[in-house]
Amino acid sequence: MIGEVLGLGGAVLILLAAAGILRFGEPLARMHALAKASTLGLLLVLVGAATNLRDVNDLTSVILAAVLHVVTSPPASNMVSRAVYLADGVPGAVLDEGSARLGIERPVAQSVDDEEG
Amino acid sequence: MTTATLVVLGLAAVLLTYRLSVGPSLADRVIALNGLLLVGMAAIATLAVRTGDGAFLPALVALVLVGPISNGMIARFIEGRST
Amino acid sequence: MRAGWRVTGLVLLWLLAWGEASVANVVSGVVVAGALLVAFPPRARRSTGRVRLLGALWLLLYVGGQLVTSNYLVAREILSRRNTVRAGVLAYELRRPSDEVVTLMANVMALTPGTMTVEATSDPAVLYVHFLLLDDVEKARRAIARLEELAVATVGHPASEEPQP
Repeated sequence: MIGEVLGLGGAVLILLAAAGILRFGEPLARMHALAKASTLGLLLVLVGAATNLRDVNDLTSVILAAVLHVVTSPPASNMVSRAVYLADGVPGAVLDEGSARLGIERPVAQSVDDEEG
Repeated sequence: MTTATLVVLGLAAVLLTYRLSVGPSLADRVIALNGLLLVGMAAIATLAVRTGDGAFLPALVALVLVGPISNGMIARFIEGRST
Repeated sequence: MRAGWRVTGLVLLWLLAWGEASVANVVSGVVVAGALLVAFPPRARRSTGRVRLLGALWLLLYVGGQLVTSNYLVAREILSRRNTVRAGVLAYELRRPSDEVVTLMANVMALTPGTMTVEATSDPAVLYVHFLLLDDVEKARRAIARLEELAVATVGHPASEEPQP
């Protein structure tokens, strides 16, 4: 019983991650939603599944998957976030110390009544 | 209750597929694909509980390993493409 | 006996993959782990910090709590009506630079609310952090500093106990 509740909770968190990916305006923000909600979401689903499975082979597979996921998911998110930041930056950011320090040129945002191409 | 879980996962898959098709950038599609991979993994685990048959669980482990590797490759590509 | 710990960890993963801890599995696991470590020897690091159990425990509790809070923050941002971008990137210079601390911090940032590592350089040891909501810059810097303290308490190099000027 508790396993199935955990599984449903994990699925809701994954749905939350999908909603964030849908709603947020730019890739870096969508990365936030994916990395945080999905890590905990999948972990809950796997833990819930582990409490319901009986065969030892199944249990070890699920535990292995959970351990590997928690260990590899943050570096994977970091890799993609870094690539996105180095390539596109944060459009409309409040403060961007990173681009200045790393020496990356960023296009200045055009104002609405700027007619030049 | 596993039915409810699968319905919720299906809804998440629909939202992610929308982002996958609309984009607008490559990074957005990569993130959406990553999310779909997660939905698939959660679905495999839930189905294993629902049917009591753990035949697909090795596929789950394989997907967990494939995710970061493909993310890394795409990240190198995105980084090298702009500027 | 660092190699011993590495082999043990790899053999454990091997046993989990095979599903049973039989003699044949353990022996084959040791052989495979040994072959892997010979083929891909771990780089000799300049700092040989040890993992301290008490620091690791605090860090684990902190990360667990932050993981729950971060999901709440994501939910709140999804439901809010504002569409203005309030994101920003901070460059944080580490006070006690070491490879392990940077790695630990960068990976924990992927789980704490509103933060995401975007770049890390080794020399100078700077961590670039993207914040989803950057309203209070000083508060954000203090949050990163707090994480650095926890990370240093876990894997910090004992020789560099003094903070950099």
